Amino acid sequence: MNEGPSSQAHVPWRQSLATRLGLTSVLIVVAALVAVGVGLIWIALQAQQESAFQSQKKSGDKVALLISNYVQGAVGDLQLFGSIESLATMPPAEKKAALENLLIQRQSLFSQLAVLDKNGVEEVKVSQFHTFLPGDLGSRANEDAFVKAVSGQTYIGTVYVSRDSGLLSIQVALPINARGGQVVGVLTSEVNVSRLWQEVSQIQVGQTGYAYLVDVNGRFVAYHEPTEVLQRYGEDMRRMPPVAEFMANGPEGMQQGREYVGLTGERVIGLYVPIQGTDWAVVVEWPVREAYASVTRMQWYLVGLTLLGMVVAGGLGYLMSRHLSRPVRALTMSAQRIGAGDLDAEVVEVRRQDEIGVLARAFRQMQGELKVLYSSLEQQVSERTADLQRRSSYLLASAEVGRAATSILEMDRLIGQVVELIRERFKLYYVGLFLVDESGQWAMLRAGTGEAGRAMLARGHRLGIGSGSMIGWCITHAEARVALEAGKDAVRLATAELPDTRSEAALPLRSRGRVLGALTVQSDRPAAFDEIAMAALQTMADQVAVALDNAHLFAESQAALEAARRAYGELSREAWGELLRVWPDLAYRSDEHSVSDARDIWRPEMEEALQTGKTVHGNDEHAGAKLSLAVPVRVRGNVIGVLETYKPGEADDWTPEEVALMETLTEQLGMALESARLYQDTQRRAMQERLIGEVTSRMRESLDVDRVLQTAVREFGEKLGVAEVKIRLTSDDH
Amino acid sequence: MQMSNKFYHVAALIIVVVLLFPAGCTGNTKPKPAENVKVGVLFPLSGDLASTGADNKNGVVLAADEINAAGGIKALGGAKLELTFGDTQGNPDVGAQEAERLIKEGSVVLIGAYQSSVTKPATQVAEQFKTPFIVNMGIADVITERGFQYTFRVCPKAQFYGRDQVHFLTKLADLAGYPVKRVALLHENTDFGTSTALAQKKALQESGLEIVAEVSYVAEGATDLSSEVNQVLAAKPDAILEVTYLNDSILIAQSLAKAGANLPLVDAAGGTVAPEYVEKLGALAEDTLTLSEYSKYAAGGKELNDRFKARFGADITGNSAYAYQAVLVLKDALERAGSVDKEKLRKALATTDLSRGSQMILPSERLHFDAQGQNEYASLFVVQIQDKEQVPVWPAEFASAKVRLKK
Repeated sequence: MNEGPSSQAHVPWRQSLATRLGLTSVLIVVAALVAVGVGLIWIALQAQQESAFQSQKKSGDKVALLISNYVQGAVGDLQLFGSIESLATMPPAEKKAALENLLIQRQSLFSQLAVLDKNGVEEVKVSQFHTFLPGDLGSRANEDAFVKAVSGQTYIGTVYVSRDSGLLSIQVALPINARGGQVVGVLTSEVNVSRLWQEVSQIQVGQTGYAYLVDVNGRFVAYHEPTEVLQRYGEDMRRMPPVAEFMANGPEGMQQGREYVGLTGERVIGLYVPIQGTDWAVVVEWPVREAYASVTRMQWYLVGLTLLGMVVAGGLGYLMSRHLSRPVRALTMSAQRIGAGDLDAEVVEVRRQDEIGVLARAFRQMQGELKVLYSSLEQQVSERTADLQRRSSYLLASAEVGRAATSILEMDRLIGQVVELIRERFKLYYVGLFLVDESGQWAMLRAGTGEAGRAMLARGHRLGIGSGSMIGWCITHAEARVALEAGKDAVRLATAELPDTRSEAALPLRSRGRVLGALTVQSDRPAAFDEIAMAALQTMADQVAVALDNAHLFAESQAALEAARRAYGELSREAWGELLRVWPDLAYRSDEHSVSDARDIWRPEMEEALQTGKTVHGNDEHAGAKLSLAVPVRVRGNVIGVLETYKPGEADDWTPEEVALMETLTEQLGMALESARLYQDTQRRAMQERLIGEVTSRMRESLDVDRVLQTAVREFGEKLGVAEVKIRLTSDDH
Repeated sequence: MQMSNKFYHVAALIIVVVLLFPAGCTGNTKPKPAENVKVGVLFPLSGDLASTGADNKNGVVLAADEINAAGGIKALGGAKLELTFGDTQGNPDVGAQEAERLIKEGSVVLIGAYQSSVTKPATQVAEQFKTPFIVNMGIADVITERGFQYTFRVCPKAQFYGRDQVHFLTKLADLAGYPVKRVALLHENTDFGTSTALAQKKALQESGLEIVAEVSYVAEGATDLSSEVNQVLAAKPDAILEVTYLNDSILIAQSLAKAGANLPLVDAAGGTVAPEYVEKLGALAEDTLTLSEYSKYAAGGKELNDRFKARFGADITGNSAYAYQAVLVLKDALERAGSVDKEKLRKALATTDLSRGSQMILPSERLHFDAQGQNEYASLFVVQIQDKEQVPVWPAEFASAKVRLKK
C-alpha cells in the first residue's frame, strides 16, 4: 500500500473526533431522554394503574348494582306477591289466576311460578312455556329452595339454563306467611336472568373491557354474550386470580386489580365485585392493551422521541464536532505537509483567538524555525560537500604532482614539469619555483609557467632571501605565506609580467630540515588560498621538495659514481701503460698451423680501431683477397689493443652476427686480460707486502737504534735487490 | 464503503419487493369459482308431523330452486344454494343434534324448524356455533327473547297470535254483528299453546273481555277431547279461542259438533290451517275461523300458489310461504354480505329491510328484524273455511269474503 500523506491524513470515521463527539452527544441525549422518559412512564403507569383500578371498580360496582337490583327487584315482586294476605287462604283457581297474572305482568322476568304448601307439595304451578295439568303437580319438599324458604329465609339459587326456555335462570323462593307470621307455604319462581346481560352489556368497561359473573363455587355463570355463556356455562373459573380471591375471601374480601390472561386470551387487569344479596361476584376484566394504552402510547412517544433525539443530537454533535475539528484537521494537514517536507506549507487558523489559534501560532513558529534550521543545514552541507570535493581534488592534484615529481630524477625536467602540473591541476594563474643559490643569498627563479615564466627566467629573475618579498620571507621563516588579496600584503612584490594576480601564496620547499627554495602560486581569483588549499598545496610542496632533494642527491651520487668509475678506469689504463712499457710489443698471431709472435704486424685498420675504439672493416688488397676485421680490445673503457682477423678472400663479407660475436669475444678477452693483469698485480703486491713484513719484523727485532738502522739498511738492500742503501738521522738544528 | 452499503440496501429492498410481489399477487389472480352456499334445512320430516314438515320443506325447496335457476347469488359469482336436510323427528333433542350436525357439515345458515320446542334448542346450538338461524316458523315468544344474536324469526311470535285473535274478537261485532264478551280458552299445553294463551289472556285483559274458562290438554296422543270441550262450553262463552295442532283440532271440531255448539271458534293457525283439517272434517270444518300467516288469496299469492301447486300438487300454506320467504331473506342477505362468512351474513341479516314485492311475499308492508331478531312487521290475518277454502275475512284490506257465522 502506498502510504502517502493523504492516506496518513485520512482518519477512519470510527476514530474521528466528529464521530466520537457525535456519539457522545447521542449517548448523553439518549441517556437523558431515557432517564426522564422512564421516570415519566413509571409515574404515568402508577397513575394509570390507579385510574384503571378505579375505573374498573366503578364498572364492576355498576354491574353488581344492576344485578343486585335486578335480583332484588324479582325478590321484591315475589315478596309483594307473597305478602298478599289472602294468598294463603285463596282457592287454587284464584291462586292460579293470581300467579298467571304475575307471570303476564312480569313476562320477561319470571318464566315459572309455583305455590307450595308447607309440606312442599305444589298447589299451583304456572309457566310461560307449559300449561301444567293437575296431574303434573308434585312434591318439592326435598329441594333446597323449599327447605330454606320454609324456614323463613329467602332463597336465591345458582344460575342454570332452563330446559324449557333455554334461558339463564335462577330459582328464587320465599316463604308465604299467614297473618300470624307463621309460614304456611312457599312461593318459588324461575327468574329469567338472560335479559340482565343485555343490560349488563350496556355498561362499558373502557372500549374492550367486559364483565362476567361467577358464583361462589367459581363456576362461570353469565356473560353479556349468550354465545360465550352457552359455551362456557358452568366452567370452572378458578384459574382467574379474582375468582380464586372471591372464592377465598367471599363477599367481604378485598378488591384488588390483578394482571393475568383473561377470558379472551388477552392480558387483562381483572378484579371482582361481590353482588349484594347473592353469592355471586362480577369479574371485570380490562385488557392491559387498552388500560395502559396511554402509557403504551407514551412509550412509543418516548421511543420516537429518543430516536429523534438520537438523530438530532447525533447530527448536531456531528456538525458541532466537525466545526471544532475542522481547524484541527486543517492544522493536521498542514503539519503533515510540513512533515512530508513542504516547509512552505501554509499554516491555517493562526488568526483564531481560541486554543487552536494558539496551537496554530506555535506551530507556525515551529515551522519558521525549522525552515531556518533546514536551510542553514543545507548550506552547510553544500559547503562541506564543496570543501570535500575541493579537498579531494586538491589531494588528487597533489598526489598527481607528487607522483610526477618522484618519477622524475632529472632536476631541470622535474622543476619544469612540476610547475606546469601544479598550475594545471590546481587551476592557477601562475606557478613559479625558486631555489636557493649556493651563496644562500638569493632565491633564483628556476621555473615559471607560461610566457611570464619564460620571460622572468630569461631575465634571471631572483629575489633576495630575507628581503621584503613573500618568497624571501617564506624561505627565511620556512613557513607558508598567503596574500589573500594580492596588493594588500605589504611583503608581496608585484611583478609586471603577472598583471592578473588577485591572490598569491608562497610555499617553502622543505626537505630534511632544509629549505631548498619556495613555490609561488598565484590565482586570478581573490582569496583563492584558503586553509584547505594551503594544506593541500603545502603537502604537495613538501613532496616536490623531497623530489627535488632526491633529484639533487641522485645527481650528486651520479657524479660521485662517475668520478669513481673514471678514477678506476684511469688506474687500469695506467697499469696497462706500465705493463706495455715493460713489454712494448705484446702481439701474437694465429694461423692454420701455429701461434706466432706478431710484433711486426700493425695495419692501418688496426690503428684506426685503436684510435676510434670501434670495430673497423678492412678492405686493403695487400693482404690478398682477404676480408679483415679490426676489433678494439677494451679494459674498463680504455682500448689497450686491437684484435684483427680476416676471412679468406673467396668468403662472404662479415655478417653483423659475426661482428657481434667477435666483439663479444673481444670484450671477454679484455676482461680476461684485465683479470690476468690484476692477478699479476696482486701477486706483486703480495710479494711486496711480504717483503715489507719481513723487513719490518727484522727492523723490530732490535730495540737498539743503531741495530735497527743497520738491520734496515741491510734488509732493504737484500730484500729489495738495490745496489746501495743509506740511512741518516738528523735534527732540525742542522 | 459508503456507496457499496447503500447499494446493498437498495439491492436488498429490490429483492424483497421482487420476492413479495408474486406472493402478493397470487392472492388476487384468479377469482374463486362460485362455491355453493350450504343451507341447512331443519324440519320434522318423519313422525307425526312429517306432512307438515314436508310442507315447510317444499317452501324452501321451491325458493332455492327458483333462485338457483335465476342465476344463484350474483354477489358470490352465481353461487347456488345447496340444501342439506336435517330431520328433527319433532324431538327437541334430535333437533339440537341435527342442527349441530348440519353446522359441522358446513352449513353457513340454518332454516327451520316449525316447532317452537325444537326451534329453541336448535337456535341455541346455532348461537353456540355462531351460525345464523332463520326461523320460518316457530312462534314461541322466548325464541327471540333470549338475547341471541344469530336467531332471526320471519314469522309472527306467539304474542302476535294471541293479540290478533283477541283483536279479531273485538272486531266481530262490526264484521258480523256479533259482540263478544265472554271468551273461553282452549289450548294444548306445550309451549305453543301456553305462550299463545298467555298472550291471549294479556290481550283479553287489556281489551276488557272476560275469560270464562281456560282448559288445557295434552295434544300428543289425544283421542278424545270431549270433556275439555264440554268444560269450555259449560262456561257459556261467546267465543272460543283455541290453540291446536292438527289432530286435536279435529277432535275439538268433532266434539263441538257433537255438543251442538254453534259459536265462533278461532284457532291460532294451528291444526285448522292444515289441508287435512278440511279433508278429514269435510262439512264440519266449514266456518272455522283461524289466524293465518298466508293465503293464496292475498295479493300476489295466486302466482306463487300456482307455482307451488304445480310443483308439489298442493296449495301453499303459511308454513311453506314463510319457508319460501325465509329463503328470500337469506338470498337478500347473501347478496348484501357478498360472502358466506357467518358473521358477515349475520350482520347482513340483522339489517334486512324488505318491502312488499317479488322478494317479500308476506301480507305485510315490510320485513325487518328488531334487535332481538324478530320480524317486527310480521302480521296475521283471519281466514274462514268457506266451501273448503280458507278465505281471508280480516283485516279488511286482505279480506275477500265476509265472516260467516253459524246460525
